Amino acid sequence: MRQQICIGDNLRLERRAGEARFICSCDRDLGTGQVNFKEHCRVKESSSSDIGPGYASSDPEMAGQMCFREFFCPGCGVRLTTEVALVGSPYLWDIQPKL
Amino acid sequence: MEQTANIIWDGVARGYIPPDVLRISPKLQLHTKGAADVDPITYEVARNTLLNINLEHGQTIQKLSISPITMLVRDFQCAILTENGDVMCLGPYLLYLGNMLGLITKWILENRSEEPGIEDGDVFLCNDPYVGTSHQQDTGLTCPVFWQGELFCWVSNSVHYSDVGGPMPGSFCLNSNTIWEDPPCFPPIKLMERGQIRTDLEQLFLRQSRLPDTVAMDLHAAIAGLSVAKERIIKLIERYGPDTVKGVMNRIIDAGELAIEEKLQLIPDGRWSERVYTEAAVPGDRGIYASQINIIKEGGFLYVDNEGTSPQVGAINNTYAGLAGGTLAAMTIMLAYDLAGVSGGLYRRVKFRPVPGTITCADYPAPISIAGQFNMPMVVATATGAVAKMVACADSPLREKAIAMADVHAYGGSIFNGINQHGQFFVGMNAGMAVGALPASPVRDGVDTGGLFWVPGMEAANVEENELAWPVLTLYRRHNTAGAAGAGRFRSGLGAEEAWVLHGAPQMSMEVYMNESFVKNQGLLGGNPGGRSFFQVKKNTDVRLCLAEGKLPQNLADLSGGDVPMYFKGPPITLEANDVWSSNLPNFAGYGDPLDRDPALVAIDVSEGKLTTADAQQVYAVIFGADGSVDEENTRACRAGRKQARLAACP
Repeated sequence: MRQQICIGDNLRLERRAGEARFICSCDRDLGTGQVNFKEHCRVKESSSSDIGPGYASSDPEMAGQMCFREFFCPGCGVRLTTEVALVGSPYLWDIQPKL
Repeated sequence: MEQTANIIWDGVARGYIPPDVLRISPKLQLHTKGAADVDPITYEVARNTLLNINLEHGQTIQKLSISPITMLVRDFQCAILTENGDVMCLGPYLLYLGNMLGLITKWILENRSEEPGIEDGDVFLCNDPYVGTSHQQDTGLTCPVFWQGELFCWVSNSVHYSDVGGPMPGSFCLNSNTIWEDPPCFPPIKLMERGQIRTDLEQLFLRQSRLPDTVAMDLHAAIAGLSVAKERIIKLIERYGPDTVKGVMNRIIDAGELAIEEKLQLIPDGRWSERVYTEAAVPGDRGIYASQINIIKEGGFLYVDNEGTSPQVGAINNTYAGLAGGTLAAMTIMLAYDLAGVSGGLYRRVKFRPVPGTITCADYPAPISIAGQFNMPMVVATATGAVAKMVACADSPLREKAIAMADVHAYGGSIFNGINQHGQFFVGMNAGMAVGALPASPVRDGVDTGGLFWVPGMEAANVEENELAWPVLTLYRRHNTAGAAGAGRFRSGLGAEEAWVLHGAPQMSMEVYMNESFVKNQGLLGGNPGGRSFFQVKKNTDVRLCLAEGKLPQNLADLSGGDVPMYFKGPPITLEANDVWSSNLPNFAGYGDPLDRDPALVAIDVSEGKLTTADAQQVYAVIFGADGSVDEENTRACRAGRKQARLAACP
């Protein structure tokens, strides 16, 4: 039986006190494995044109319907994941491994 | 494939999903007896012979075709299938076409074995996306191989034909709202009967095309590929006997399945999803639409659905064949990378539960012709995201095989037509951006212009080949820089851009181009998404004057003239002598937090001129000293401050 599942560089799903919990590499608890860990992150939402040099749109009206979300660990500030999404859409619950 | 309850997936009203047991006419005798005790040496000799037969099939198509898209770019696929249409192996070409050849063949077994029958020497042609093609241009041919009256196996190919009819040259019909505004669909027809080409049906197919001579040559190249593969398989059977060869074929698939099963044991059970967005169902539409793929892994099987995808609309649709093919292409790269094209074992372990009536699994009569340019890369990208997240949760060494997403419309190509420098009508598909880029992975940077990973054998045409084929002069083709686009702990390989001007013809019409309004790519586990693909046109420039003065313009901004407002899908643009246009294929997705990237790797990118010191600081928080080396202490402090600032900005 797995005791933990590594998810990328900084996130893992770990069994603690009999329950699967999302844990950051800084040891910050990001909630139960039954809930989208993004709900426990600090989230920055910005324009999809403002991600950085080279993302600027030639059609700001269309680009304005989209946003760029960055999900940071509230403990250490590392960026765990990102989304390009429709403004106002719910976070995609995209990683649901079972421990 | 699993059948969704109460929905008929018949290839007529809806995409075709074969049942687990095919309904084949008893008139057709199948060879099913495979020896179970083939010795290891015979097995290896026969196995490698079969794989090489398939490679020779592809090389024959490439050598005999004449269209740039087939001859130079290799936009095709070939396969060997078992007697019941299960794919045994694919060539190193367009991976998502492999499964489609299986769908077409199984549909023929179910719907043609009784009437008109399947006989030795037959070749069936099909370009119907509801039966099993990605779009009408990717026309499939499939050929039964008989041994002593029994159907032993099939050899099949799919080739992108330059024009198969419809209202737009090149057959990508951006304005279609129904299949009746698209190129014609041909469900499987018997193009060859008992070894003879049915000239009436050949002419029916060619008559639709604006380029009948080119399509005829490519069609005959495809038939030649089938003939070579069939002849070689017959010789293999003559040498080893049918039961031995069939035993080897069965064992090849079984071994592939076992290899997949072993990899699946490294992946925890769970559910992974990806969603990407596209835009403009038809030119002028301002809508935004979602493509979503969800993968549930339970024990030794993967279950795939597209719940969350937008309802079918306008011209941005593909059928079940595209959904399954694109998903299996991403899985092939990350799960079957070591199987030398033997994908049949993987296919056994994937079950689809598609949601019909969606842009990635459309019902008849949705138009499908533009799927090859727009939807299929989108499906591959969506699937790549979901598969990569799943694989990134696996135990080592599989987790290192995760690969970030390529661009959602990654061909970056354009389609144009007119009268060329030789006074002949032409349709051009610029696949110069097939130079591609490999995205980042959890253990390494991607590869600069490293190709498109779901088309391992694809090559971009050389600029000289483009200039020979079409009335154009290439001003430049070069790498992008490594700025924010595709940044991460490991960055994407660099994409590319190129610019053209007319040469030898007074004008031509640009019909299909892509200027994305917003970035559609998704980064992997903290990485930046890839960049925005764009297409620019500048009218009435001084480019001729520059060339006359011996200057080769290297930037559209340096030229006089006016920019044309560009949309993701716009109306055709007439290009004239003083106009310049450029395509950009962006860097693809990055992996991991850019602030965790090894500063030494950032320094290498700067030293190689791929990254400016300003971008190194802005994107990666790497500080350089006066001597040009990394200031490690200040870099650490800058990164720590940047992470604290993130939290301060998001209370």
